[in-house]
Amino acid sequence: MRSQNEMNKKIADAFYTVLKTTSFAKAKVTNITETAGISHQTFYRYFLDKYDLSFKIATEKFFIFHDIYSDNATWKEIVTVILNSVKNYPVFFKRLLEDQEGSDIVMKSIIAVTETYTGTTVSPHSVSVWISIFKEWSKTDFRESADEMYRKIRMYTPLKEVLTDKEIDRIMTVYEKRTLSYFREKGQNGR
Amino acid sequence: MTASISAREKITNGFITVLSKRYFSDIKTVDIIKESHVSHQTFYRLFTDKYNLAETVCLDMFRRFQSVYGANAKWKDLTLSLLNIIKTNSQFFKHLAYDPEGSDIFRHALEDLSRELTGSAGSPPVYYIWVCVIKEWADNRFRDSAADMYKKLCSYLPISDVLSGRDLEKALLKYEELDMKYYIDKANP
Repeated sequence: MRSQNEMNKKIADAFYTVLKTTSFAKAKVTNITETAGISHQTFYRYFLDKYDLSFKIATEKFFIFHDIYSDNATWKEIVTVILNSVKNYPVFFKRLLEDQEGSDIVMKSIIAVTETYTGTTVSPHSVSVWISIFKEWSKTDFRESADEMYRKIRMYTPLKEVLTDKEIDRIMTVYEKRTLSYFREKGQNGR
Repeated sequence: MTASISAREKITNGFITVLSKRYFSDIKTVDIIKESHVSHQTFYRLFTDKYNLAETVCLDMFRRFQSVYGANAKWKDLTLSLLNIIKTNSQFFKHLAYDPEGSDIFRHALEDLSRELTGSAGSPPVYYIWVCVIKEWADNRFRDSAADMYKKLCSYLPISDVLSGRDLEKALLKYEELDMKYYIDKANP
């Protein structure tokens, strides 16, 4: 068991090293095995391919919140842990987020983590908002603090996640009547 | 002058035809030129490349709402018109939204429209939500009405686009303190 964990870590570390100089699209399993000093067979005993490897790494990073908060984590705590995991593993997440397939993997990991612990799937809409924020963040090499990013994510939460259908109806009835000149003035006053 | 307007139209129509059949990434500028029956020189005199063309065509389509609702449209009328324009050109927008490069163009065109109309753009996530909604729509072959998709779009709007001040804080404070038990109970009533 211990050696299996060690091998997982060895492969993940080698992948991280490869990503320092190679984009996600161009990174090959051969580069990973060469860096790790292991055979192809060994790699494929643990992972199907680089997509499977990436998904498992990302999911494992996100799952850390459970070790910290156990079953009573609040939404805020879960999101903060996910943000910190991204910030503490920058090369890996930057490479994934700058790639379309890579972004899909991050998206799937987030969905998997939330699903395991709540039994419900987050809507793809919410997750795509997260991904858009993560992408922006990766462009500054994750310079902003996790707290700052949390505040952003929180502000962009889709209405449906926070309010009941009735509340949305009530709010939208006001909102949808606003005219373009209203938005023009609002823009001038600074958003 | 007349000649260049018609060349522009030819290229625009050629592009709409090509994009209605194939995904944006699979289209080469040569394909568009061939379909439009114009010369290379004419194409490059009017557009920088296929990206520039795609954004121009999108924006032109979006602008059509103005002929119906004018320059001071309500948010609902504007949004519904955009959805109707998308439904009318469903294959065109499907091949944009489902394509990584195409969806970027779609988002930029919406952002440009917003800047043009109000002087500022919405929050970036709004445009990702649009792409998500269009993909969902394409998945059921645009069977849902524009009004149905309008409702969906509304329910996924980023909360800070719609609420502000104390209302926003009140809604969020309650939400962010919910723990996992709440979601589990909600999923298994």
